[in-house]
Formats: sequence, C-alpha cells, structure tokens
Amino acid sequence: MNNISIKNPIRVFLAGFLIVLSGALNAELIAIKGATIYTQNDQGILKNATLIIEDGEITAMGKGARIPGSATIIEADGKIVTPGLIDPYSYLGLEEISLEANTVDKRTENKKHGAGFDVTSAVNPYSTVIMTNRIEGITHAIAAPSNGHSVFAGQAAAIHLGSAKDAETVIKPRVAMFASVTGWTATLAGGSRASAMLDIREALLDAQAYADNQADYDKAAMRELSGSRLDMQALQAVLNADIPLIVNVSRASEIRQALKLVKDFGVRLILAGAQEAWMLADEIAAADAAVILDPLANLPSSFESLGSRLDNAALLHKAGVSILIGDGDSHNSRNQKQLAGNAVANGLPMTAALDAISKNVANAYGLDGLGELNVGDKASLVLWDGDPLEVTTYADVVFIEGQNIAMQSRSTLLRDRYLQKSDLPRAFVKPQ
Amino acid sequence: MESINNSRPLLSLAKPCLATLIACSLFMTACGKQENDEAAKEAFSSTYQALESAPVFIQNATILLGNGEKLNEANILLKDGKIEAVGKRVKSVKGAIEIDATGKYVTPGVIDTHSHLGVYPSPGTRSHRDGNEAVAPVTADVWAEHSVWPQDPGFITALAGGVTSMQILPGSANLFGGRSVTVKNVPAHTYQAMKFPGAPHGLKMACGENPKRVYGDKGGPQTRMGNVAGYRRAWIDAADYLKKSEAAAEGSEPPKRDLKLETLAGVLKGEILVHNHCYRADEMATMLDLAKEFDYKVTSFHHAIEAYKIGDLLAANDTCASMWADWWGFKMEAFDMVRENIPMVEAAGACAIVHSDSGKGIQRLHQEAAKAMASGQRVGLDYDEATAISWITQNPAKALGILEHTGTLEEGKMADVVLWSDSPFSVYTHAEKVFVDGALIYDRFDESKQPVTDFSLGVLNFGAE
Repeated sequence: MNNISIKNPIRVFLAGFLIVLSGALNAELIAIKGATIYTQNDQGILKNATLIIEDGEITAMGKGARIPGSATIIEADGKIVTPGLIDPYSYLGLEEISLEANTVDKRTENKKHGAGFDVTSAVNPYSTVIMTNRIEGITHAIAAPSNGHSVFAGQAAAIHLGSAKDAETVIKPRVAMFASVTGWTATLAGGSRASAMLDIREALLDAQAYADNQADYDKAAMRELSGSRLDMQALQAVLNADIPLIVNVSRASEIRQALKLVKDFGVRLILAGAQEAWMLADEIAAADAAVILDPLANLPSSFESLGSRLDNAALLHKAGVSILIGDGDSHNSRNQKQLAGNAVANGLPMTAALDAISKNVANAYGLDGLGELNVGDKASLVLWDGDPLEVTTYADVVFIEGQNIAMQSRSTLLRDRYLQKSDLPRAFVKPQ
Repeated sequence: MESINNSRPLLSLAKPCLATLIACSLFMTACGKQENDEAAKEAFSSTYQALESAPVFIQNATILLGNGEKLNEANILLKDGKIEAVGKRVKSVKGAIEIDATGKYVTPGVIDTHSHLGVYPSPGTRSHRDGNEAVAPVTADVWAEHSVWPQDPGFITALAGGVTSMQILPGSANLFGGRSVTVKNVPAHTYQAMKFPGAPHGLKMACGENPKRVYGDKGGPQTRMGNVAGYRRAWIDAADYLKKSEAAAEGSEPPKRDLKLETLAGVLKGEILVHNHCYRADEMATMLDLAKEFDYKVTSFHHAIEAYKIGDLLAANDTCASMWADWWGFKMEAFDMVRENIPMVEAAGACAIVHSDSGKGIQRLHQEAAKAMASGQRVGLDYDEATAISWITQNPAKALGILEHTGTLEEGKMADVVLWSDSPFSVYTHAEKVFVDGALIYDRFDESKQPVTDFSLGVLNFGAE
C-alpha cells in the first residue's frame, strides 16, 4: 500500500515530490482517508470518513469504507472534502485578456444574434484562466454571454475546468438564456428600462407565436417577428421551462418586473446581481426564483443599487430563496470561497454558503451529478487544507470529472521559475 | 516635513501667504521665488482636527504592532490622541474608557496607498467621474483633492474595514496624472478637514498600456517608447523651471508660476513623492533608470504585477511595490500574475504593500493581506501575521511619507487603532472599533458611532422595514 501524505504541500513541493505524486495518484484506485466530508446531501457531514475513487468514479464513501490493498492513499488527517465549486456566472473559456478584443468571445454585435447567440462553439478549453482557477477548487462553471447590442445576451454553456483531452469541455450546451434589464442595458433598448422590458416580453410573445405558426413562418407567410429565426428557436427552451431565464437586475422595481415573467410566461427565473433583492425576499421565494449575487456588493454604486447591503444573501436565504454566489470576475473565480466566507461573516449559515457555490448552482442549471458527493458519480471534488471558505485556505487535491488535476498553472510555473536560485538568465530555468 | 500639532491647524500660516500671493500678482518684480513657494505649499491646507476623546485602555489583546512585532495578552493605552503605552504591564489611567479585548486583536489603522474614493465616488454617475483629467498626456497641474467629494459613502464602508488613512490618486490615463492627496478617513464636509496634516503630496505617473490606449489616436504617445519620450520632455522642462526658480533667489526674474512645472519641480526637490502605476518588470526597470536620469526617487510602484521578478532592484532603490493579492488578466500587462507576488517582494528585502484601487477592496485589505500571507507560507516564505499586517500599515505609511506619525503602534504616534473581533486574517473577522487620533470614529455595535454621509440620508436601505 502506498502511504502518501499531503499534509505539508510546501515541503513536498519544493522537494519536487508533488509532480511524482500526481503521477502516482493517476493510479486507478485512490482512497482519501480520514477526511471530513461535506456531502451537501442528506448524509450531511461525514467525520473521519474515507472516500474511494475508482477509475474516476466515487465507489464508496463513509466511515466504514473498505480500502482495497492496491489503493493509493491520500491521508486527509481530518481535512475537509467538498464537492467541486461551480461558478454560476463566468466568462471562463470565453475571455483570456479582457482588453484584447480578439481574445474575448463572450459578446456579439451581430444583429442577427440576440437570444440566439450561443457561446458554446467559442469555448477555449486551454485558456490559462481555466488552469489558474481549477487548481484552487473551481471544477465547473457557467460560461455566460454578455450583452452586446441586445437586452438578450444569449445562451450559456456549462463547462468543466479539467483537461479537455479526456472529456469534452462543454458538459451541457445552451444551459441557460441570459438577458438584462438594468440602467446600462436600458441604453441598448433605447434608453428606458421600460423599453428593455418590452423587448424581453415582445421576444417571448413572438417566440410563442413562432412555435404556434412555424409552418407559416417557414413559408414566409407570417408577420414580422422581433428576432431572427435563431432567436425564436432559442427562446423555446425558455418558454418550455427547460432552461432558466437569467435576468440581470439591480433595483427592486426591476426585480418586481422580472418576477412578472414567471406568472405571465411560466419561465424559470434566476435573478443576477439583484443588490436590492432583500427588499422583495418573500416575493422572490414565492416565485421560486433563484438569485445569483455578490455578497461583497454593499456600495450604492449607482442609483439602481442604493439598497445594497452585506446581508443580502443572509436575508434571502432566511426567506427561503435559493442563492448562488459569484461576482463575474472570471480571472478570479477562485475567490468564490472568499465571497461565500464574507456572506457567512454577515449572517449566512456556513452550509448555506457552501450550497451557494456548489449544490444550488448545479440545481439551478440542471447539472446532474454535480454540487454534491454521491456514490456512483464521477469525482468532482476538492480536498482543502483548511476551512474551505477561509481566505488562507488552499486546495490540496482537486478531482474534476474523475480526473486527478495536476496542481500546476502558468502562474505556478512563473512563480517556481522566479523562486529558484540561478546564475543563468531566467529563460533557462524551466520548472516542470 | 513639518511637525504636526493636531489641535492647531496650519490655517494661521496660510493666511499671510495668501496675502503674499495677492501682492505678488500685483507687483511681480517685487516678489521672489520664496513667496511663490510658500503660497504653493500653503494653498488648500489641512483644517483637520481630531475629535476630543477620553483616554482609552484596551487590555488582554493580541497586538500586532505593524513593525513586525506581536504581543500576546497585552494592553494598549491611548491618551491625548496619541499612543501612550503598549505592552504587557501597561496600566490604565483615571477616567479611561476600559475595553476587555480577550480573544481579540489590536492593530494599527489600515492604510491604503491607492484609493479613488471621493474622486470616483458612489453612486458612479456620469457627473461623478472626477478622477482623471484625461485630456492630455501631461496633467501634472491637477490636484486630486479638488475632485474629492467628501460625501462618498465609500469612505464610511472603508472605515468599517479598519481603514484610517488613504492616498487618493488621480487615474492612470496620463503619463503624469496629477497630484494625489493623503487623507485621514474621518467624516467631514470639506476635504480640507480630512487632509492628513503635514503629509506630502504624491504625483501619479503611469506606464504602459493606459497612456498609449488613451492618447494613441489623439497625438500620442502611441507606444511605450513614446511614453518614455513624453516623461523625459516633461522632466527637462521641470529641471529648467527649477533652475530659473532657484536663480530668482539670487535676485533674477522668477518665472511665472506654472502649475504643471511646479508639481514636477516639487518632485525634483524631493517634496512630492512619485507613485508610479506600472505592471511589467522591464518597464519598472526603465522607470527607475528614468528617475536616475533626472535625479528623483520612485517612492512606490503601483499594481506591479511583475514585482516578484525584480525584488532585488526594488530593494536596491528603496522603492515600494503596492500590489493586489490576486487581480490579473484584465489587460496584457497584467498577464504574469503570481499569487506569491507580495511575499516574494518581502523576501527580496523590498517594501511590500497591499493596496486596493477599489471601493470594495479597500473594505477588506486585511483579507487580501491574508491571501498573500497564505500564498507565501505554501512555498516556504513563512511570513506570519506580524509581518503580514505591515503590508497594510507600516509599509503604506512609509510610502505616503507619514510613518513618523502613524502606521505602527509605537509610543507617541497618532492613536490610529483598530480593534478586531479576532485575527484580521480570517474571513469571519470584523473590525469592531476604529479609533482615529484616539477618538472612536466607528463602532460595529453602536449605531451612534456609525457615521452616515449626507448622500446616504434617506436613500440607503429605505426599503428596510
């Protein structure tokens, strides 16, 4: 039996062991022994438990899990295992360097592509931004479009952050429709929030008409619609409530208007941003709408977010609203845990905060087998070296879709190059 | 730097100078450089006055002094606005407010070297965009303080994060963006009443992409070499202006006051500190050479995402690096981020600072310092809390030229002090009490000690039932 302890990654790392280690961990049978497992399901927290991963699948989990003799053992020493974290609203795989336009694929000015815009085909699995974030525990993300010329940003893809060699990066294309009714997007609609909301309602009505009269449409015997054929087709999944409609909103009045879409069109609604959501917590809960929020958004940064406060998350959770935590800074998706930790510091229970960056995200987007730890699922999980929501905590081990992730990124290579002593120019120092 | 007397603002000095200024404009020939200098120095001077306060005695705290030292179960006494005594055997005095801090931490007030509060205030309306005179590559004549809106609610949220002083800078669109101002984070309805008494001005400079992007199609600079030519032209003019001004003391005709050159000459005279927005290692090295060419000092680079590549050079030049814990990737020059930047700069023996450049980030500089600390510990750079706190207290105070007054909990310094619910390096910790010059300006548990700016009255959280 190989007894490998990752208790002290520093020493291990500097001795150059960790590389050997990840090689060893790629064995088919891995046991994470003596861990505190946050299952994020009915089993709750399993203390001093063992988790067996066989060919990338969780085959056993619990106190009494038997460790096969051939298993590579990771001694957890009581450290915490959680499901992999999922960023609910990111541009991962769609944006490399924000100000370099030809590395950014998240938005379009093509007038034919409103609701029909679909980012799936642009996702770049080899983005350094993906690498940087996966070694810190972000295992999946929603790669979302952003608004170009229309109040509809388009359709998002759910991606995993692991290696693209073994598994297609997009785990679910067209997983949600993104739209926006804020002061900024109102300018895209002509300058009024009322126009922005009209654009959304008209598109949904037209999409209904399109579905009812498709034969006429195909014969060009139908009245003009507000969007292209692609737009109308894309909106069917929203009308059928197969995918959520995510609406960026800030102030309470915008939120109230968005909630009406649930009643009028039967859409599954997720509110994003939603700084003043706490003011309507009960209405949001009644509409069964989830909220994606940034727990650090407490400044009245515009007249539409005068009600911003640090306990937005706690107040919504208390009212029974499902919350998802993210701030849209994809380069630092890894700070999701800091956002969640701050929500806890401002009244959100710890388990709810963890749900908000794992299970709730999986549920909101219909990502089966993610966000909780179950026997029979592919392993997407993180072994942390401390409290997973602490700013001083790092991921020791990350599994994504059964892959044991090599803990290396462009950032760590740069670091290792400059940490080493060398008499030669740095270009000759090539950390492995 | 002038010594500070908190109870007596320098206004009395300013008045005669103002008279001089008027006289000078009427009888130019009768006036020399000295009156010009005096007038410039005393214009818009600080009217800051510390609030009255009884002595404060905090006992049984874990105290991080800011200078690398840590005391367990120790006491601190604040008296007459100053730190009277710190240590295990320090006793209370009669009439002191006594606070038991068992299980809690005490640190110096947090200092941010890079803020745009007040000049890019909340709400971020079009008419509030006052942080960058982006009309020409050289706008060394503008002063950030003349844009500061003291009613920015961001000052108060920063206070709740333990921030007691900050440098407010102009933006980075220009080669020379203008003068910065250092303020004490106290509620006031004029910026003069926030202005840190005796703190030197800073000069904002910017390297790299921003000036190129903003002026590339407006007559330049369009390239990095264009940037450098632009700095050099300006310094040549400044050196010439300084020479003529100094000759005027010998009796020759002084040059007409030129606000741009006055600022740049102030740098050459060592009175104004250079704060240089710069990301790349090679560009920082270029800027250090530029400083050599014109004989001035770069006090701090800001952002400095590649500082870890030239820690030795920073140390040799006694230049600080004001850095983020993890921001990166928003532009090409911010591509080579390493999480360990801050501890690697510390390890090189240079002055490492965690800065915010953000109304959100300034509220939790302690968390950013915690991230930097943890990143270092993982690669064997074992800096603990006592060192990490210096990245947001002592070192920024040094870079702002106010270390003799604040930034550490040493006896005789301003009593700018934060009481934390626990270690400031935990995400769950809050600043419970914030003292500025010994006065309790913010208390997490006492609404009467939670300031509300004019703007916030009647609009914030109005939906709260």
